[in-house]
Amino acid sequence: MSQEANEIFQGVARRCGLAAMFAPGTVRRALQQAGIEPAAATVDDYFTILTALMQRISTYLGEQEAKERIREIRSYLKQVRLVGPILAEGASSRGGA
Amino acid sequence: MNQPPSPPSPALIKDLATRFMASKLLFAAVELGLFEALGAGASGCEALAERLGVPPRSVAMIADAMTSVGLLVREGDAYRNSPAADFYLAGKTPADMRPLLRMFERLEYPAWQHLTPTLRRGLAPELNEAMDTDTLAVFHAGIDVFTMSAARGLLGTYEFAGRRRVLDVGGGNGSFLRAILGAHPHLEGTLFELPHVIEVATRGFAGSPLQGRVTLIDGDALVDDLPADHDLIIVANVLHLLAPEHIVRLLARLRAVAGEGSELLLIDLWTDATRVDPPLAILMAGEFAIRSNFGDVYPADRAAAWLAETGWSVFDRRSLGPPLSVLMARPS
Repeated sequence: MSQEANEIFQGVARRCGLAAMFAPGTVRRALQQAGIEPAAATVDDYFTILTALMQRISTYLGEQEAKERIREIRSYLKQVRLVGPILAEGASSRGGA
Repeated sequence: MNQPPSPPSPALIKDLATRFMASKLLFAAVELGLFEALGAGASGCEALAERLGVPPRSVAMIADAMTSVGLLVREGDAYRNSPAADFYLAGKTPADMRPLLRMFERLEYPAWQHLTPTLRRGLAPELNEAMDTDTLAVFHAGIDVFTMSAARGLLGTYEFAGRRRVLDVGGGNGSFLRAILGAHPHLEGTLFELPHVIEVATRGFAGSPLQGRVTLIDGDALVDDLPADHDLIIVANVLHLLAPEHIVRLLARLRAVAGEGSELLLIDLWTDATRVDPPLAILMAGEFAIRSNFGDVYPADRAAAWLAETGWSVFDRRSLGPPLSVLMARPS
């Protein structure tokens, strides 16, 4: 995985509301389900899986919490588009797990 | 005039508060290779220092500490391994416990420094290390050692002869499946795990004689389709990472793919109704607070109620060596 792809993957995983033991597998599964190879996933790819990711995390977090997490991820991805993943990390708020 | 009552002894508090020192010195001894170095025979401080590449003062500190806790024996100016250290920590037997201690040193000790804020927030800390496959391998190698005696205990406890296909749900890198298939050549197995863990398991099974009898499937057991056509389902050390509502969901999903003749083995840190026994089980709750936003240790009778609620009936419970035990269930 390239450094940029890894940064985005981890940025999304950290914001999905699941602990580190579950988060990477959950994000990876959502990507794979959409036919996207995680190592090559782009910002646009992550936008396309947000609905599927929300369904997955809502199983654990409940619908309201999942919606909030997806809002955070969407905001983060918008920042990534604008300034790249490293600067986006500081610019986009992050909370919870 | 009555004397005021003498205060209670603080010994227990002092003892508990300082046990971390012994643990940390043990981890350091393993990392430095002290027990391996003494695996060939007794050695003095200077020779050990040269072999380990650390200052003699450090060797004296750690070797004397390990002597004081009973893992080394002092003979004049030389140290030698105790029988337990030589068997489990010198890398000389298959019962090598060093991967467990490496996991504690590299992952658990740093992670537990987050315990107080974790308990305050009720949410697991961000531990980026869990996202790295190499670090996950260290984690699962340690878990393998932690569960090794339980896996062996299961082989002597459950009758596998009438089973055909085993589904291990959330089985990490497959330590239970490896033990079961290794002991029962007629069985085939499926490991169902999250994709980043399947990656670690794939490495573990590559080139193994069991490779042809194991299918590795990635997925989330609470979300994705579970494989059918298995007559034995094992869920080992998974439920303590989940909240009760997740557990009920998982058990119901397992029931949906279980045929009438199937059996289910739930291996976990099941406690008594008061959550005091076995003591190590309840101490492990701190680990689940750190590793999961939902985890906890649960009483066995609570698990039996969840099983009943989801169409399962418990027919036995056996200890696999504390703190682990197995609940055995069939479709009701």
